[in-house]
Amino acid sequence: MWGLIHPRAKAGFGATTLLAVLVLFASAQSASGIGIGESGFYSFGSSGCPKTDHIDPVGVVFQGTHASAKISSEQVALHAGWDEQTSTSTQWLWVLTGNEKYGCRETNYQPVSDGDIPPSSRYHVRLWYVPQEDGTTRRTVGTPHHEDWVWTCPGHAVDANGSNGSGFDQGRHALKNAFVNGGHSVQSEYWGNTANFKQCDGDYAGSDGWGIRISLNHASG
Amino acid sequence: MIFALSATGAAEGEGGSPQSVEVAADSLPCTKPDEPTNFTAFSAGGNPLGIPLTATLRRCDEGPTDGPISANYVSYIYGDCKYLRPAGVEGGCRPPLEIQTWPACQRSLADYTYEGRPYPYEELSREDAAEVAGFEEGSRLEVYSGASTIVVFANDPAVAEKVLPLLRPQTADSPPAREAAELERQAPAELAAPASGATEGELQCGG
Repeated sequence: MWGLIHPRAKAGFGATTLLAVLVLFASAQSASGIGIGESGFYSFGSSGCPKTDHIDPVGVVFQGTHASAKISSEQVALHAGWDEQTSTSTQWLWVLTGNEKYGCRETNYQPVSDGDIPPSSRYHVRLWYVPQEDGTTRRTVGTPHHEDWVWTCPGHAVDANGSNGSGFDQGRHALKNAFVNGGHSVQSEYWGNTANFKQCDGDYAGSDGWGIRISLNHASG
Repeated sequence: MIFALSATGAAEGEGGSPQSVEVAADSLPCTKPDEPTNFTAFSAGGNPLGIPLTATLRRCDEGPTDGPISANYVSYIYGDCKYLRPAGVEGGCRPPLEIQTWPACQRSLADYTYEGRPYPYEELSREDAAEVAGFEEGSRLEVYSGASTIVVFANDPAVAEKVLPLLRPQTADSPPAREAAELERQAPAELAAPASGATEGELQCGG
Protein backbone atom coordinates (compact mmCIF):
# COMPACT_ATOMS: atom_id res chain seq x y z
CA MET A 1 0.00 0.00 0.00
CA TRP A 2 1.48 3.32 -1.02
CA GLY A 3 0.51 6.73 0.17
CA LEU A 4 1.66 10.03 1.43
CA ILE A 5 2.92 10.36 4.96
CA HIS A 6 4.74 13.46 5.99
CA PRO A 7 8.15 12.49 7.34
CA ARG A 8 7.81 14.82 10.30
CA ALA A 9 4.28 13.69 11.08
CA LYS A 10 4.84 9.98 11.29
CA ALA A 11 3.40 8.27 14.32
CA GLY A 12 6.16 5.76 14.90
CA PHE A 13 6.88 2.41 13.35
CA GLY A 14 4.84 0.41 15.81
CA ALA A 15 1.53 2.10 15.12
CA THR A 16 0.75 0.16 11.97
CA THR A 17 -3.01 0.30 12.26
CA LEU A 18 -3.08 4.05 12.66
CA LEU A 19 -0.64 4.41 9.82
CA ALA A 20 -2.74 2.26 7.54
CA VAL A 21 -5.70 4.55 8.15
CA LEU A 22 -3.55 7.61 7.53
CA VAL A 23 -2.22 6.11 4.31
CA LEU A 24 -5.69 5.31 3.03
CA PHE A 25 -6.90 8.80 3.84
CA ALA A 26 -3.90 10.45 2.28
CA SER A 27 -4.12 8.32 -0.87
CA ALA A 28 -7.64 9.50 -1.45
CA GLN A 29 -6.61 13.11 -1.14
CA SER A 30 -3.83 13.51 -3.59
CA ALA A 31 -1.77 11.99 -6.34
CA SER A 32 0.09 9.33 -4.48
CA GLY A 33 1.68 6.26 -5.92
CA ILE A 34 4.78 5.91 -7.93
CA GLY A 35 7.81 8.08 -8.29
CA ILE A 36 7.55 11.80 -7.94
CA GLY A 37 3.75 11.78 -8.06
CA GLU A 38 3.03 12.84 -11.61
CA SER A 39 5.39 10.28 -13.04
CA GLY A 40 7.70 7.43 -12.16
CA PHE A 41 11.27 8.07 -11.08
CA TYR A 42 12.86 6.45 -14.12
CA SER A 43 12.15 6.02 -17.81
CA PHE A 44 11.98 2.63 -19.50
CA GLY A 45 13.59 1.19 -22.59
CA SER A 46 10.60 -0.74 -23.84
CA SER A 47 6.85 -0.35 -24.06
CA GLY A 48 4.87 -1.65 -21.11
CA CYS A 49 7.43 -0.20 -18.70
CA PRO A 50 8.77 -3.49 -17.30
CA LYS A 51 10.50 -3.05 -13.95
CA THR A 52 13.70 -4.65 -15.16
CA ASP A 53 14.20 -2.10 -17.92
CA HIS A 54 14.79 1.23 -16.22
CA ILE A 55 17.07 3.58 -18.21
CA ASP A 56 17.24 7.21 -17.08
CA PRO A 57 16.20 9.12 -13.94
CA VAL A 58 13.58 11.85 -14.16
CA GLY A 59 15.24 15.19 -13.38
CA VAL A 60 12.90 17.96 -14.46
CA VAL A 61 9.24 18.92 -14.31
CA PHE A 62 7.92 21.82 -16.37
CA GLN A 63 4.71 23.08 -14.85
CA GLY A 64 2.29 25.91 -15.32
CA THR A 65 -0.46 27.03 -17.61
CA HIS A 66 1.77 26.60 -20.66
CA ALA A 67 3.65 23.45 -19.72
CA SER A 68 2.52 21.28 -22.60
CA ALA A 69 5.15 18.97 -24.05
CA LYS A 70 5.31 21.04 -27.24
CA ILE A 71 5.77 24.38 -25.50
CA SER A 72 8.22 22.84 -23.01
CA SER A 73 10.28 21.59 -25.94
CA GLU A 74 10.09 25.00 -27.61
CA GLN A 75 11.19 26.68 -24.38
CA VAL A 76 14.15 24.32 -24.09
CA ALA A 77 15.11 25.31 -27.62
CA LEU A 78 14.69 29.00 -26.81
CA HIS A 79 16.64 29.07 -23.56
CA ALA A 80 19.11 26.19 -23.86
CA GLY A 81 19.43 26.01 -27.64
CA TRP A 82 18.52 22.31 -27.72
CA ASP A 83 16.35 21.57 -30.76
CA GLU A 84 13.79 18.84 -31.33
CA GLN A 85 15.34 15.71 -32.77
CA THR A 86 13.04 13.16 -34.37
CA SER A 87 15.59 10.49 -35.22
CA THR A 88 16.76 9.84 -31.65
CA SER A 89 15.54 6.66 -29.97
CA THR A 90 12.39 6.73 -27.91
CA GLN A 91 11.70 5.65 -24.31
CA TRP A 92 8.66 5.16 -22.09
CA LEU A 93 7.54 6.47 -18.69
CA TRP A 94 4.71 5.97 -16.21
CA VAL A 95 2.71 9.19 -16.12
CA LEU A 96 -0.56 10.20 -14.50
CA THR A 97 -3.19 9.86 -17.20
CA GLY A 98 -6.25 10.92 -15.20
CA ASN A 99 -8.26 9.99 -12.12
CA GLU A 100 -5.01 9.20 -10.32
CA LYS A 101 -4.28 6.37 -12.77
CA TYR A 102 -0.91 5.86 -14.36
CA GLY A 103 -0.19 4.84 -17.93
CA CYS A 104 3.02 3.83 -19.68
CA ARG A 105 3.55 6.48 -22.34
CA GLU A 106 6.07 6.99 -25.12
CA THR A 107 8.32 10.07 -25.33
CA ASN A 108 6.56 13.09 -26.85
CA TYR A 109 9.52 15.33 -27.67
CA GLN A 110 13.26 15.17 -27.23
CA PRO A 111 15.35 18.29 -27.70
CA VAL A 112 19.10 17.77 -28.14
CA SER A 113 22.00 20.19 -28.26
CA ASP A 114 23.53 18.44 -31.25
CA GLY A 115 22.18 16.01 -33.81
CA ASP A 116 23.05 12.40 -34.52
CA ILE A 117 24.95 13.18 -37.71
CA PRO A 118 27.84 13.49 -37.27
CA PRO A 119 27.72 11.65 -33.93
CA SER A 120 28.86 13.88 -31.09
CA SER A 121 28.65 14.58 -27.41
CA ARG A 122 25.51 16.47 -26.52
CA TYR A 123 22.86 17.46 -24.03
CA HIS A 124 19.56 15.65 -24.41
CA VAL A 125 16.22 15.56 -22.65
CA ARG A 126 13.25 13.31 -23.40
CA LEU A 127 9.91 14.87 -22.53
CA TRP A 128 6.58 13.34 -21.58
CA TYR A 129 3.32 15.20 -21.14
CA VAL A 130 1.35 14.35 -18.00
CA PRO A 131 -2.29 14.09 -19.16
CA GLN A 132 -3.77 14.56 -15.69
CA GLU A 133 -3.99 18.30 -15.24
CA ASP A 134 -4.34 20.09 -11.93
CA GLY A 135 -6.83 22.86 -12.63
CA THR A 136 -5.06 25.05 -15.17
CA THR A 137 -1.65 23.65 -14.27
CA ARG A 138 -0.12 21.41 -16.89
CA ARG A 139 3.00 19.32 -16.43
CA THR A 140 5.67 17.85 -18.64
CA VAL A 141 8.44 15.74 -17.14
CA GLY A 142 11.86 14.99 -18.57
CA THR A 143 15.11 13.06 -18.20
CA PRO A 144 17.91 15.58 -18.92
CA HIS A 145 21.44 14.30 -19.37
CA HIS A 146 24.76 14.87 -21.10
CA GLU A 147 26.09 11.99 -23.14
CA ASP A 148 29.13 11.15 -25.18
CA TRP A 149 29.22 9.28 -28.44
CA VAL A 150 31.05 5.99 -27.96
CA TRP A 151 32.11 4.27 -31.17
CA THR A 152 32.55 0.88 -29.55
CA CYS A 153 28.90 0.74 -28.49
CA PRO A 154 28.11 2.28 -30.99
CA GLY A 155 25.87 4.88 -29.48
CA HIS A 156 25.59 7.50 -26.76
CA ALA A 157 26.64 6.81 -23.16
CA VAL A 158 25.71 9.14 -20.31
CA ASP A 159 28.79 10.63 -18.65
CA ALA A 160 29.93 8.51 -15.74
CA ASN A 161 29.81 9.67 -12.12
CA GLY A 162 32.61 12.08 -11.31
CA SER A 163 33.49 14.75 -8.78
CA ASN A 164 31.26 17.18 -10.71
CA GLY A 165 28.38 14.74 -10.87
CA SER A 166 27.18 12.45 -13.61
CA GLY A 167 25.84 13.28 -17.05
CA PHE A 168 22.36 13.21 -15.51
CA ASP A 169 23.37 15.96 -13.07
CA GLN A 170 25.15 17.95 -15.79
CA GLY A 171 22.09 17.87 -18.03
CA ARG A 172 19.85 19.05 -15.22
CA HIS A 173 22.29 21.81 -14.26
CA ALA A 174 22.41 23.00 -17.87
CA LEU A 175 18.62 23.23 -18.07
CA LYS A 176 18.41 24.93 -14.70
CA ASN A 177 20.99 27.55 -15.59
CA ALA A 178 19.39 28.22 -18.98
CA PHE A 179 15.92 28.76 -17.54
CA VAL A 180 17.11 30.78 -14.56
CA ASN A 181 19.01 33.04 -16.94
CA GLY A 182 15.84 33.22 -19.03
CA GLY A 183 13.94 34.62 -16.06
CA HIS A 184 11.94 31.53 -15.13
CA SER A 185 11.35 30.43 -11.57
CA VAL A 186 13.19 27.17 -10.89
CA GLN A 187 12.66 25.18 -7.73
CA SER A 188 14.84 22.31 -6.59
CA GLU A 189 13.57 19.29 -4.69
CA TYR A 190 15.32 16.24 -3.37
CA TRP A 191 13.78 13.03 -4.76
CA GLY A 192 16.54 10.54 -4.04
CA ASN A 193 16.31 8.63 -7.33
CA THR A 194 20.01 7.82 -7.21
CA ALA A 195 20.12 4.30 -8.68
CA ASN A 196 23.10 3.75 -10.94
CA PHE A 197 22.82 2.65 -14.55
CA LYS A 198 25.45 0.71 -16.44
CA GLN A 199 26.20 2.47 -19.69
CA CYS A 200 27.15 0.83 -22.96
CA ASP A 201 30.82 1.68 -22.34
CA GLY A 202 30.76 -0.21 -19.02
CA ASP A 203 30.78 2.87 -16.80
CA TYR A 204 28.08 3.69 -14.26
CA ALA A 205 26.04 6.86 -14.13
CA GLY A 206 23.35 7.93 -11.68
CA SER A 207 21.57 11.08 -10.58
CA ASP A 208 22.56 12.79 -7.35
CA GLY A 209 18.87 12.65 -6.47
CA TRP A 210 17.88 16.24 -7.12
CA GLY A 211 15.02 17.30 -9.36
CA ILE A 212 13.96 20.70 -10.61
CA ARG A 213 10.59 22.28 -11.31
CA ILE A 214 10.53 24.97 -13.95
CA SER A 215 7.58 27.34 -14.15
CA LEU A 216 6.06 27.84 -17.61
CA ASN A 217 3.25 30.31 -17.34
CA HIS A 218 3.64 32.02 -20.67
CA ALA A 219 4.36 30.78 -24.16
CA SER A 220 7.37 32.86 -25.10
CA GLY A 221 10.46 34.40 -23.54
CA MET B 1 13.48 20.07 1.45
CA ILE B 2 12.92 22.70 -1.24
CA PHE B 3 15.36 25.23 -2.54
CA ALA B 4 14.84 27.87 -5.14
CA LEU B 5 17.36 29.54 -7.37
CA SER B 6 17.20 32.44 -9.73
CA ALA B 7 19.67 34.60 -11.55
CA THR B 8 21.98 36.60 -9.26
CA GLY B 9 19.77 35.84 -6.32
CA ALA B 10 17.41 38.74 -6.75
CA ALA B 11 15.66 38.23 -10.06
CA GLU B 12 11.95 37.68 -10.11
CA GLY B 13 10.36 34.43 -11.18
CA GLU B 14 7.34 34.17 -13.44
CA GLY B 15 5.08 34.62 -10.50
CA GLY B 16 6.82 37.87 -9.66
CA SER B 17 8.22 36.75 -6.34
CA PRO B 18 11.94 37.02 -5.70
CA GLN B 19 13.79 33.74 -5.28
CA SER B 20 16.70 33.04 -2.96
CA VAL B 21 20.01 31.50 -3.79
CA GLU B 22 20.60 28.01 -2.43
CA VAL B 23 22.54 27.58 0.78
CA ALA B 24 25.86 25.82 1.18
CA ALA B 25 25.94 22.13 1.92
CA ASP B 26 26.67 20.55 5.25
CA SER B 27 28.73 17.56 4.24
CA LEU B 28 31.53 15.28 5.32
CA PRO B 29 34.91 15.74 3.64
CA CYS B 30 35.26 13.46 0.63
CA THR B 31 37.45 10.40 1.02
CA LYS B 32 39.13 8.70 -1.93
CA PRO B 33 38.06 5.27 -3.21
CA ASP B 34 41.15 3.65 -1.70
CA GLU B 35 40.71 5.32 1.69
CA PRO B 36 38.46 4.25 4.56
CA THR B 37 35.22 6.20 4.59
CA ASN B 38 34.42 8.64 7.38
CA PHE B 39 31.00 7.02 7.83
CA THR B 40 29.94 3.40 8.23
CA ALA B 41 29.17 1.78 4.89
CA PHE B 42 27.15 -1.42 4.58
CA SER B 43 27.04 -4.30 2.14
CA ALA B 44 25.02 -7.48 1.81
CA GLY B 45 28.11 -9.65 1.64
CA GLY B 46 29.84 -10.92 -1.46
CA ASN B 47 27.10 -13.02 -3.05
CA PRO B 48 23.70 -12.21 -1.50
CA LEU B 49 20.86 -14.45 -2.68
CA GLY B 50 23.26 -15.84 -5.26
CA ILE B 51 23.78 -12.45 -6.90
CA PRO B 52 27.52 -11.79 -7.13
CA LEU B 53 29.27 -8.50 -6.42
CA THR B 54 30.13 -6.95 -9.79
CA ALA B 55 31.23 -3.40 -8.97
CA THR B 56 32.11 -1.05 -6.13
CA LEU B 57 31.50 2.66 -6.62
CA ARG B 58 32.70 5.49 -4.40
CA ARG B 59 30.94 8.72 -5.28
CA CYS B 60 31.57 11.98 -3.47
CA ASP B 61 30.63 15.12 -5.38
CA GLU B 62 32.55 18.33 -4.87
CA GLY B 63 31.03 20.31 -7.71
CA PRO B 64 27.79 22.30 -7.87
CA THR B 65 24.59 20.77 -6.60
CA ASP B 66 20.98 21.87 -6.79
CA GLY B 67 20.77 22.23 -3.03
CA PRO B 68 22.47 21.42 0.24
CA ILE B 69 22.65 17.67 -0.36
CA SER B 70 25.64 16.52 -2.37
CA ALA B 71 26.08 12.90 -3.36
CA ASN B 72 28.37 11.03 -0.99
CA TYR B 73 28.06 7.29 -0.93
CA VAL B 74 29.63 3.88 -1.27
CA SER B 75 27.76 1.62 -3.66
CA TYR B 76 28.00 -2.14 -3.93
CA ILE B 77 26.49 -3.34 -7.19
CA TYR B 78 25.39 -6.95 -7.51
CA GLY B 79 24.71 -8.80 -10.73
CA ASP B 80 24.75 -7.58 -14.29
CA CYS B 81 21.98 -6.29 -16.48
CA LYS B 82 20.83 -7.02 -20.00
CA TYR B 83 19.32 -4.78 -22.56
CA LEU B 84 15.73 -5.84 -23.16
CA ARG B 85 14.95 -3.00 -25.46
CA PRO B 86 14.59 -3.10 -29.24
CA ALA B 87 17.63 -2.54 -31.40
CA GLY B 88 18.42 1.13 -31.81
CA VAL B 89 17.03 2.20 -28.44
CA GLU B 90 19.85 3.81 -26.49
CA GLY B 91 20.40 3.96 -22.78
CA GLY B 92 21.93 2.15 -19.85
CA CYS B 93 20.52 -0.67 -17.82
CA ARG B 94 19.93 -1.08 -14.12
CA PRO B 95 21.67 -3.89 -12.24
CA PRO B 96 19.37 -6.22 -10.27
CA LEU B 97 20.66 -5.10 -6.86
CA GLU B 98 22.54 -2.05 -5.60
CA ILE B 99 23.26 -1.04 -2.01
CA GLN B 100 24.27 2.56 -1.42
CA THR B 101 25.32 3.90 1.97
CA TRP B 102 25.22 7.65 2.62
CA PRO B 103 26.08 9.59 5.76
CA ALA B 104 22.74 10.22 7.47
CA CYS B 105 23.69 13.87 7.78
CA GLN B 106 23.65 14.07 3.97
CA ARG B 107 20.59 11.95 3.22
CA SER B 108 17.63 11.25 5.45
CA LEU B 109 13.91 10.59 5.34
CA ALA B 110 13.25 14.22 6.12
CA ASP B 111 14.95 15.45 2.96
CA TYR B 112 12.33 14.26 0.49
CA THR B 113 9.53 16.33 -0.90
CA TYR B 114 7.82 17.11 -4.15
CA GLU B 115 5.90 20.16 -5.18
CA GLY B 116 5.99 21.43 -1.63
CA ARG B 117 4.09 18.36 -0.48
CA PRO B 118 5.11 15.27 1.45
CA TYR B 119 6.74 12.49 -0.42
CA PRO B 120 5.20 9.06 -0.94
CA TYR B 121 6.73 6.29 1.09
CA GLU B 122 5.70 3.34 3.19
CA GLU B 123 6.80 2.75 6.73
CA LEU B 124 7.95 -0.85 7.11
CA SER B 125 8.79 -3.07 10.05
CA ARG B 126 12.08 -2.36 11.74
CA GLU B 127 15.11 -4.41 10.80
CA ASP B 128 16.60 -5.06 14.21
CA ALA B 129 16.55 -1.57 15.75
CA ALA B 130 16.92 0.24 12.44
CA GLU B 131 13.99 2.05 10.87
CA VAL B 132 12.97 1.10 7.33
CA ALA B 133 11.02 3.01 4.70
CA GLY B 134 9.86 1.80 1.30
CA PHE B 135 9.77 3.81 -1.90
CA GLU B 136 9.13 3.11 -5.57
CA GLU B 137 6.66 0.31 -4.85
CA GLY B 138 9.21 -1.54 -2.78
CA SER B 139 12.04 -1.46 -5.29
CA ARG B 140 13.84 1.08 -3.10
CA LEU B 141 14.14 0.43 0.62
CA GLU B 142 15.92 2.81 2.94
CA VAL B 143 17.36 1.63 6.24
CA TYR B 144 18.20 4.25 8.84
CA SER B 145 20.81 2.84 11.20
CA GLY B 146 23.21 4.78 13.40
CA ALA B 147 24.61 7.68 11.39
CA SER B 148 24.14 5.89 8.07
CA THR B 149 21.37 5.81 5.49
CA ILE B 150 21.42 2.53 3.57
CA VAL B 151 19.55 2.65 0.27
CA VAL B 152 18.71 -0.72 -1.30
CA PHE B 153 17.69 -0.61 -4.97
CA ALA B 154 16.35 -3.81 -6.52
CA ASN B 155 14.35 -4.42 -9.66
CA ASP B 156 12.40 -7.06 -7.71
CA PRO B 157 10.93 -5.76 -4.43
CA ALA B 158 11.18 -9.26 -2.99
CA VAL B 159 14.95 -9.16 -3.46
CA ALA B 160 15.15 -5.81 -1.66
CA GLU B 161 13.23 -7.22 1.28
CA LYS B 162 15.20 -10.47 1.47
CA VAL B 163 18.53 -8.67 1.46
CA LEU B 164 17.82 -6.62 4.59
CA PRO B 165 18.81 -9.36 7.08
CA LEU B 166 22.07 -9.81 5.18
CA LEU B 167 23.27 -6.24 5.73
CA ARG B 168 26.60 -5.87 7.47
CA PRO B 169 28.98 -2.98 8.08
CA GLN B 170 32.12 -2.53 6.07
CA THR B 171 35.22 -3.58 7.97
CA ALA B 172 36.31 -0.62 10.09
CA ASP B 173 39.34 1.35 8.92
CA SER B 174 39.30 -0.36 5.52
CA PRO B 175 38.53 1.23 2.17
CA PRO B 176 35.38 0.07 0.34
CA ALA B 177 35.85 -3.57 -0.62
CA ARG B 178 36.57 -4.44 -4.24
CA GLU B 179 36.32 -8.19 -3.96
CA ALA B 180 33.43 -10.35 -2.85
CA ALA B 181 35.71 -12.27 -0.49
CA GLU B 182 36.42 -9.11 1.48
CA LEU B 183 32.73 -8.59 2.05
CA GLU B 184 32.21 -12.21 3.04
CA ARG B 185 34.63 -11.86 5.92
CA GLN B 186 32.18 -9.59 7.71
CA ALA B 187 29.15 -11.44 9.09
CA PRO B 188 25.65 -9.94 9.06
CA ALA B 189 25.26 -7.72 12.08
CA GLU B 190 22.49 -6.32 14.23
CA LEU B 191 21.46 -2.96 12.87
CA ALA B 192 21.48 -0.15 15.38
CA ALA B 193 18.67 2.33 15.84
CA PRO B 194 19.08 5.57 13.93
CA ALA B 195 21.20 8.20 15.63
CA SER B 196 19.30 10.92 17.41
CA GLY B 197 17.86 13.33 14.85
CA ALA B 198 18.98 11.22 11.88
CA THR B 199 15.56 10.52 10.38
CA GLU B 200 14.36 14.02 11.18
CA GLY B 201 17.15 15.59 9.12
CA GLU B 202 18.64 17.19 12.20
CA LEU B 203 21.93 15.32 12.27
CA GLN B 204 24.83 17.61 11.47
CA CYS B 205 27.91 16.52 9.57
CA GLY B 206 29.93 18.95 11.59
CA GLY B 207 31.79 20.19 8.55
